[in-house]
Amino acid sequence: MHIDSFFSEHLTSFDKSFDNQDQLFRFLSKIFSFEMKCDEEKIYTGLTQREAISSTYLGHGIALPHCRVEDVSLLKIAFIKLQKPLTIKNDEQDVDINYVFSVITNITHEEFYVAVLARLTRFLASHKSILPEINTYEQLSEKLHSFSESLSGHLNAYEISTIIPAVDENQTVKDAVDVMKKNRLATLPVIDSKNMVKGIIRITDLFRASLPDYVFYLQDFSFITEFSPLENFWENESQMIIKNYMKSSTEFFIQDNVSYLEVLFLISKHKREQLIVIDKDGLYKGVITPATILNTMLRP
Amino acid sequence: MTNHMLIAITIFLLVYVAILSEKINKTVLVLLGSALMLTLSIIPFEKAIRHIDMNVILLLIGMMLIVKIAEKSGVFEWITVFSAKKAKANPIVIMVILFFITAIFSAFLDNVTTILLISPISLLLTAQLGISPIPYLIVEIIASNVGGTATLIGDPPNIMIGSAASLTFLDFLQNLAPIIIIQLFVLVFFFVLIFRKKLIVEESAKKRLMAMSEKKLIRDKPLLIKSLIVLGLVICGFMFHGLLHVEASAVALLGASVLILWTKTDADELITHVEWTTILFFIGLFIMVGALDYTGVIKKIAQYILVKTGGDIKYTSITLLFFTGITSGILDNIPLVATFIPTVKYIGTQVGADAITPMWWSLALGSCLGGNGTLVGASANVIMMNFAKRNKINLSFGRYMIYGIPFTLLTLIMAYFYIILRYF
Repeated sequence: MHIDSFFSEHLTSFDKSFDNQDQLFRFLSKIFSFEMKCDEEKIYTGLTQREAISSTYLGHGIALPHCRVEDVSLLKIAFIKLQKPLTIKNDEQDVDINYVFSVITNITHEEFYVAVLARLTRFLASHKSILPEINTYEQLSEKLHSFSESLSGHLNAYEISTIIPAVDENQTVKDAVDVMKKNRLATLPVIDSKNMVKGIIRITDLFRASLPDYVFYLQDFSFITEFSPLENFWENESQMIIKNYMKSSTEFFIQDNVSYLEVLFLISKHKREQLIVIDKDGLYKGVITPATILNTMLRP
Repeated sequence: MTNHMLIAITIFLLVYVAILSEKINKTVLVLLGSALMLTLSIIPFEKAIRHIDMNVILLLIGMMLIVKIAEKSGVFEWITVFSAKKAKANPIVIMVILFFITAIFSAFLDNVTTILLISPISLLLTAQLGISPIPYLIVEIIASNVGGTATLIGDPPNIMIGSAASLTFLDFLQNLAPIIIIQLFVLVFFFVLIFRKKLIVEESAKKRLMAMSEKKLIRDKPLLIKSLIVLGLVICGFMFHGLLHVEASAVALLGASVLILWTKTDADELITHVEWTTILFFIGLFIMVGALDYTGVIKKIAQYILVKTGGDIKYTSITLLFFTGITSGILDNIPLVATFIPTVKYIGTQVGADAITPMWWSLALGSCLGGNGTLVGASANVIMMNFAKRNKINLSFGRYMIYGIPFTLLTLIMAYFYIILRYF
């Protein structure tokens, strides 16, 4: 199903402005209930409850309020281009929104709903620059039509992944640790100068490398509190090349077109907590962790 | 020589050469060899099965089970750290202690287990002291092979010899332990002499070692007590198994089952830790040697030896001691002993079973002590070599031989005098 088929003229607005988020949700509930012939209050409750879990603000002035309600049969998307920015809370901070995309569907359409949300989010992230140019429903329809991807169908690995910083295989362990610290990450993809994925570097592997091999043959390490080999390791971190400490096994790689079911299977069966998504040429496309799945599939 | 004999010898030698090349897993090789012996009808299936010495197999399994439970208690690591602290972190005294602990452990556990238990803690101690671990690793290899020679259960060749020759645990203690104890003291004297100048540490390093709290190594005190009691009872059982006319394997299996039940160990999980590759290696080897025996190859070898030595037991014993002592440095001593056992047995049928007793001790001393010659002379040495490599310690083949060869010759010469003085 093509993306523009989920929009309609009645669900599109270019001249509205709101004083607060509640007003916006009231308005959305009203137009959805009119378009989808369902209970306005249920939609309002759904939108506010979802927003209470976490903000649906996407960044770049775009909000994506969404929910599933009982008595609707279709999936519909409303689009509002605000006359003046509306200030809402996002992670305890005030942010201004200019565009609203709102998705409503039936409570049972979980998989479909998740797929539409993931693809819409990705579409908005890559096409945000076109939004200021849209001033009529026809323009919206035309722009959306040019987006060739279908919104329906099963999610793939690429769509449930997120981009995190990668490090070059020839950088040092110190560089990797700095990037980890800056981005609050414990794992980084390792790439070469052509953006080809070469492996993965994990802080846990560095911990393992910082202790000599023989200690892992001991059944206990609690009897020791001071251990010189450990300190010597970290002293040299700026001379150690990532290539020598990364895991290059292909078990950490996953093709971008693999279905989300296989991703779940790999993560649960083989305890692969980090998967690097690559395209057919081996180029870096993103990473999947249990946390990204949580955000893209379970609590979108 | 019959065709069957030729085929049996060819298969045996090919497998032996392939084991030496270390390209393919040795268990797979002996299983392939024994399967070929069976499929080519070199030996009938029923005869082959009878050659599998179940006493050896069950004794190995029983001891593996007991040790796997006991090692979980942390007792082996505790003894080492406790002794090192008692030695006030003096590196020379620690070396002496590690030498004797390794020798005593190997006398009652198998050598590979001993090395697996002692080497990590030794590297830790030397890292804390800031000194080279190489002297420690060398003395431990030598101690494990010499110590293992002292008892029936100390080294697989002894288990095989004991079972085949109906020699008891006490027989081994009475005949081998005296010379082994003397050898241990002579060896440790030389080690202190050689390494003492290299083993100098700073006071700060000693403090680091003294700060270790070894009590934390005892993870499970009830388990420790139970396993020590059972291990003690099993050793007592070994002492009297000859008198009671019970095979050593039965004692070990009884101990293992009681310990599993008493400690409520998860048997399914425990059994997966039995070294099945070793067990299968023995089974395959027994079948291959069985084929050599069945086809008459062993008889030919024994007759050749008898002709060459003129049936002189003293001369044969000494030849056996030095032959197995030197070849064990290059070849795996288990297949070597497996081949010599039926040979010695055959000689026994010609000259009388009692007359060949010194030959059994020569075979045990030669094959066990000979393992010290090179880094591939015994399984424990190979384990230690790989362990050193993984920990980036330069324990090279050549470097080890500088110590391995002279000390092997020393122990073999001491064993020679012992055999001459005691039995002839």
